[in-house]
Amino acid sequence: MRTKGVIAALALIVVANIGVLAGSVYNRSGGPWQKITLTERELALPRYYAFLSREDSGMFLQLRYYSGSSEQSWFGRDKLEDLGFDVPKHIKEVQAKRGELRSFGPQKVFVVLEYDGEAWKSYRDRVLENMEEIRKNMEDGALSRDAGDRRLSIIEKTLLETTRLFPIDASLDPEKLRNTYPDMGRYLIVPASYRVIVDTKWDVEHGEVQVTDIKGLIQEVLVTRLHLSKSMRLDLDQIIRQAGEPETAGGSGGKGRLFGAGGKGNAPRYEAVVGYGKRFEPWIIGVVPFSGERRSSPVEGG
Amino acid sequence: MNREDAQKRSDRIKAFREELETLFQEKVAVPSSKDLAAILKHHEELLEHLAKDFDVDTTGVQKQMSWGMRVVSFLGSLALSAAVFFFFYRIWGHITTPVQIFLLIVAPLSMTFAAWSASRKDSSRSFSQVCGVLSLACFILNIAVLGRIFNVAPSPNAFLVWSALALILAYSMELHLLLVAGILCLMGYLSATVGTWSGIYWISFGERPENFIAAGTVIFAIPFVFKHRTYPLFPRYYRLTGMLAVLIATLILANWGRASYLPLDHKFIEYLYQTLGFILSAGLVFVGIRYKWSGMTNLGSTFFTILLYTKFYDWWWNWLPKYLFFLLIGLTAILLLLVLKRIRTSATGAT
Repeated sequence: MRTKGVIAALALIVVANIGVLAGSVYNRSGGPWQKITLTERELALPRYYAFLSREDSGMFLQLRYYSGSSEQSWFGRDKLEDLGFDVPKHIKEVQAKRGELRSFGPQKVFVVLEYDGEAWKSYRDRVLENMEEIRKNMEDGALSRDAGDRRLSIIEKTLLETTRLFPIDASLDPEKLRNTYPDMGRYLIVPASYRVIVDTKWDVEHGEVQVTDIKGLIQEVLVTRLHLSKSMRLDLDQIIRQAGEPETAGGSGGKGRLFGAGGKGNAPRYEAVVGYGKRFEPWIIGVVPFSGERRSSPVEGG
Repeated sequence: MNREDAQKRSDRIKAFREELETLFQEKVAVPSSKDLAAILKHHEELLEHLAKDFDVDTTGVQKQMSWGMRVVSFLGSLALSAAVFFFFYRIWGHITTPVQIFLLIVAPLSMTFAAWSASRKDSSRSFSQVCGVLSLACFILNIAVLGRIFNVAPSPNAFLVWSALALILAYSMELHLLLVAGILCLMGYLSATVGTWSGIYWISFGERPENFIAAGTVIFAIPFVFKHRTYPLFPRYYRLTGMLAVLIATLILANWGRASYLPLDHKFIEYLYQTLGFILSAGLVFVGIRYKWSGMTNLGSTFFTILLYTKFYDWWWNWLPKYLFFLLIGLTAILLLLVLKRIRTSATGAT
């Protein structure tokens, strides 16, 4: 019993590892299904890396995408029904629970992340309008110069550093999404999870809960931490050193902060080529110095 | 005969000797010296054989030492597992991917082999338990870190393979700690799978306590399907863990009906689960007495009391003076003691 059990245990360990490795080999076989180049804005160093590096020498880049609900107006009732979500049944459930239940999920879905496209431009335009509003308030005296300058500075910095990946569509069928969004340099199709949010109000006349709106919200992309191999990490360290920032990785307890505070302005320091395989598992193909984009102020529409 | 039977026999022999000593001191009639000598000689030989073949505790001191060894073995296993985790995370960024993969695979294989070697030489199972727990820890690290290296989305199947290794090691070397670890991993897998049946993404299975009720029920039922003749002590772990999961989930839903799958008003759900909780915990007390499952009796009475106290809190905390509230709690405890004593007395009479 003992010897047979141990042989079974050893076999299980070997088979499990073969399974994981075979899955990864299959994922990467035939080259990446999709490939995109992203900058430090979209693939950031870990925020608290300086505190982690002492006990965790592993390195990863964090995929950042815009997750605010204001940019997901496309994820309404129609899209939910496309995804097979039974809207009438869940509305009845919300009413049965007298409005106490206001969200469902999360559920798995494939989402399209648009890179530096219309969604980003629309967001940027709204932010620029907000900046204009602040300037107007400063001129009118409704806002003091100091407070106004501080707000403008923060908004401008955020605009230059924030990610340009925005979720714009979702489906259970990734092939369908790929046919709809064939430009692989602009659209990334990734597995994610979403929640359904229900807005309600109390109908005084009928004494019951009324559902005023039902919408989806992308909760999270399933894999956002992209592991860096040792050789790529050394390349990245070299790039960051040349960019004038302290080393961000390794046992030196590097800074690992987002770029922008100190250093050479707010431009990204590197860009990385990311591939997604047959199982939608990503990997970093290479890291190179940032090739250059307009460093003009967002006011100029950069 | 298995180890548990051998230990029970050893305990009976010890109790017999102590009772014989007491009878002698009380000058009650005892067997003749010739018969007594034969019995004692037989017991001596038997104890020697049991100690040699099953490593049972034949004296009170040995029993205490065995308990101490179990505690030390448990703490040592946890500490070494933590050391392995932290060591690997400290060095892995400095080694290449092929070396990482090699170390991750070799570690659980070598610890499994070490556990097997230890079990052949050490009949106390303390060292094989340490190696067995380390083997499981290395395997968990193995699968988790491979997932990180290759950016694999998390999957509940990891719980299944971890459970499989823990259970294989538990059954092949009779390691109770690994059995519990295996049952917990299996519980995780079953709860996550039940969660996905409702359409939700598996990682949020903890948001719905009913997933644990289903999983706990399955775990509880396992020893009824698979009889454990070779390991008679193992079924109690399944029963205890399964029922604990069911009762904790019931307690949560008795106070937080919003988390339920049921499409009903949350207050009604809370009343429903409170009723279910009382019936279940009372039922466990009676089942525990009927089948002599002491763990079930204790579990049932504990949860019955907790449920009762939460109801008292809901009813009386805001409007009763605090001294009166606690007085009522205390009087209820005394009432429960009287009821349990009565059940205990009738159980003694029945035997």
